[in-house]
Amino acid sequence: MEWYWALASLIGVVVLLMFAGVPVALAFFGANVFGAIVFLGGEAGLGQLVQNVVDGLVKFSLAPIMMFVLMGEIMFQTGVAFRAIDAIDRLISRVPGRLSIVAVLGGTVFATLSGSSMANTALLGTTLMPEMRKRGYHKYMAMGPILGTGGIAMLIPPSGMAVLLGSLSGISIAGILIAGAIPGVIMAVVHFSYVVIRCTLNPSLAPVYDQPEMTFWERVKPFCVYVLPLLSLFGVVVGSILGGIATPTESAALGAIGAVVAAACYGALDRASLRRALQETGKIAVMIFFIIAASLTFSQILAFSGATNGLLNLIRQVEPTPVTLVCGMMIIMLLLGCFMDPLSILLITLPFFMPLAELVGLNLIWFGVLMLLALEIGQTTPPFGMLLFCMKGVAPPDITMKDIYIAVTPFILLELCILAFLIAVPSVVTWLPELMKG
Amino acid sequence: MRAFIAGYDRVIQFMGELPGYLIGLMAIGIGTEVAMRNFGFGGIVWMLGLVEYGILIVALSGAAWVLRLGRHVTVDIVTNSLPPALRRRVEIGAYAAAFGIAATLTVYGVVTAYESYMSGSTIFKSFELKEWVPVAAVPLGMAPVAIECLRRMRGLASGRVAPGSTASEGF
Repeated sequence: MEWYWALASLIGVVVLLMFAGVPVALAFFGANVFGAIVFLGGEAGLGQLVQNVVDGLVKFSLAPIMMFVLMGEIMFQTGVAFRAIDAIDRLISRVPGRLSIVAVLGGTVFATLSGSSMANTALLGTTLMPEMRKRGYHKYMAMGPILGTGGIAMLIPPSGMAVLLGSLSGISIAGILIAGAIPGVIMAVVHFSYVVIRCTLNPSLAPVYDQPEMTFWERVKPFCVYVLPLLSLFGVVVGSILGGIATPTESAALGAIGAVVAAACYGALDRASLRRALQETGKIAVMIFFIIAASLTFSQILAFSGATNGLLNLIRQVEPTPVTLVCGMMIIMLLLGCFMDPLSILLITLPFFMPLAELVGLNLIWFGVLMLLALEIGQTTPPFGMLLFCMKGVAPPDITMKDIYIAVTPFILLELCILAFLIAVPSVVTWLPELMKG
Repeated sequence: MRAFIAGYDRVIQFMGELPGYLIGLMAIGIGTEVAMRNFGFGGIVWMLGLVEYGILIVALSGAAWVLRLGRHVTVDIVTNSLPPALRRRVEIGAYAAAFGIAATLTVYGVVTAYESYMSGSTIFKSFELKEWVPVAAVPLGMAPVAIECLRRMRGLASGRVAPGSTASEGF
């Protein structure tokens, strides 16, 4: 079979099954069964497929995914994250768009604790949206910063998606985790500045209201009690990697243990919340690992069928410059992001993108961060970005999907500008990992 | 029959709750290993292998439970835009396909595990293990997934389950 027919049939089976409503993991397994029969020799291929499922899952490098999810779930289920947001709320005063700023800063802080953009959006939407609406904030100014900041969790370490990307692509997990920090902070600063400028130019977007009189210490104390100690979790995860105490894989487990200890120290840990956190973590981990099991074999079958090599040879003949190639790949990811979830996009694109990136000699850590940013933008792009639906789930009933689309648009544009900036100036991404490598 | 289904449901629920507790134990295990290594007591050599096989159990043990809860990622752009009657038929078709896929993996999982058992082959990661043991996890995880797909098809066909809902009823 010619490579393009192999490619079309394998991708076709996945897309057909996915769009028919078959769960993504089973859609990939379906393509694998088809590929095993056609390309791997029928029965022997199906036996190999079973063996590949085992080999794909028995990997220590997958452990951080569940550990970071556990870390965020403990913060969420014990209510410690809510206290942290409340403490940041007290700290900020006399700033245009105060509550929107709280959303940006709170989201950035929680991003360092959870690594989950869905958890970020749900947390901020639940805690801040009602207060913003009560204070007369325009609905776009209330939702936009929450949606924009929700995705920062994907960049700022520890990021579950960064670990997943590293596990699937073979890019250094520690490298991507560290490299995501500066772009994440840049994004937070850009969102912060946008909110301040918009609310200064048009104060009706976020009316100023009287806050209860508080002394300096009354404002600062909750931050010192509920936020600063939590940031030590970031130190545990990243510090243990940099200090050579633990591998990136092990550091995630230390972060999860740290989260339990932190919740216990705040007196927020009880059996019910711990059980909920473990059960939710279990469900998310099962879902992710099941997809990984299917997708790793899919990549192997694509390669075995000759589809990957055929496509690479075709692109080699076109001789694209690295920048053209990166821009093309980012456009594909952004387009897919309008219709699919980040995990599915990653699984479909990685088998092609990684060989292409290696073919033209891209810095893989830089490329990995660009992919994360494109995935993050994809989570908020209409019509089917996952965070948009997450926001709809926690927003008041009068908020329509159209309102959410309008609210998120300026933040998508800002993030596209950041993506273009990172493509143009790769050193912003690569500087920190190279410094750490020393 | 009812007692059998109730028993099956309890097993699926146990298999669904197992991953969360395993993850908790793995976090403790990895943390202990790191602490012992850094405090000079030497690492726990078998911990890495234990966690690796734990991940296999996490993925396969809870798959059917997560399917029942509707928590597997699904792309519903097309099905959401269909009229209800057609949507029901498309979903039945989708779950029939999913059943076929899970059943194929179950059957070939049993065949592969049996062949491995007969050959007596072993794998060595950080400890030695008969190869058929991890391979057997595939059919053990996939068989309940196939059953859940059947239950969902039956529920959709009988009208007891609404298209797009997460409940998996039918027997």
